[in-house]
Amino acid sequence: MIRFVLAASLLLLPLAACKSVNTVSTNNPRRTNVDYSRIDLNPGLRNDIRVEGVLARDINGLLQGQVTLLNRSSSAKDIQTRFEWFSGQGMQVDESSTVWNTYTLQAGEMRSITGTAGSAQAKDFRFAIKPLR
Amino acid sequence: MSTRFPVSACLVVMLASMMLIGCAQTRTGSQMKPINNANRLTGGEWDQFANWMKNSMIQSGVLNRHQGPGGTPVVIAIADWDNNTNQPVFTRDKTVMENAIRKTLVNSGQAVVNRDIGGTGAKPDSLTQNITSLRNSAEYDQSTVPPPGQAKAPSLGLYMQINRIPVNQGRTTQYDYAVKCELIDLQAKYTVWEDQFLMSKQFVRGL
Repeated sequence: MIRFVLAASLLLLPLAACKSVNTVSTNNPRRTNVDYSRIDLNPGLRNDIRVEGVLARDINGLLQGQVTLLNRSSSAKDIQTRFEWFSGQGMQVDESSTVWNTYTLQAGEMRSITGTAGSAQAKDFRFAIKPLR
Repeated sequence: MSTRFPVSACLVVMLASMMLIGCAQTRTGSQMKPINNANRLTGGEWDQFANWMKNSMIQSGVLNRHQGPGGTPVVIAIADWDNNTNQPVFTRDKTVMENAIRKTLVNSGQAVVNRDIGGTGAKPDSLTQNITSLRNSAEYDQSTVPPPGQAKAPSLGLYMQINRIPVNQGRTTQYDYAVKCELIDLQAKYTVWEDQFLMSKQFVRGL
């Protein structure tokens, strides 16, 4: 009986741990309609920058992505971001648009960063964030 | 009296030269460090302006509204470029922004760019103009030469402008860069889309 309880506890513990990892935010469905697997956040920024939302839409035949970031730290952060665009088959398209853009997020600032694909073949995207230095 | 240079002085000169040579280096890839200059806009900054312009232009739906019959792409020509700064180099550098905007419009199928005519911001392609000289040339198979009356006149013009406002405080100079783009309906002669984005940079003078 004790062994059964211990075994059940060991099985349940990982599930409880999973519940606390929020990989898909539903706190603000107004800002999110795609999952966060598209976000590539540099580990050095994980304590300071939080992704508040990820949106995607078709705008006049082109894919547009918008990622909302929050600077949770008490100091301004200089970051670089870029969009990468992929076809429906997962091949990267519009590679020349894959350029790092620089932003400064003040302490506590929330900002939405928008990108528009330069190819009608783009059906998916990835968004990367890294520190400027 | 000996005119030979002292050996110790030669050694000092050699060591100094070696140190100077050691200071020069080429960096690529991950070795590159971010650099910037308040007086100039980097290629990345011009590209950032282009991203903002593209987002705004496409979101407005202006290109859809001006498509040709049957949904054919809009014909755009590059209109004037106004460099309202004292940096003539911006006239060359703005091509980074122009190229980024044009490639999105063309490669997405939303627009085509006329390369035959343009305003002060355009550099028409000489081949598109010279090819008409092949007409009636005995050297060329005339059935392969573009006949007259095939080109479509542009319906929209892409106008670009840059302004720079310097603000000084003590040893600090801030430059506010304002880049503006417009799409001009060439038939009606009014703008049908325009937007402006700002970017500020500061320079602190040494003591």
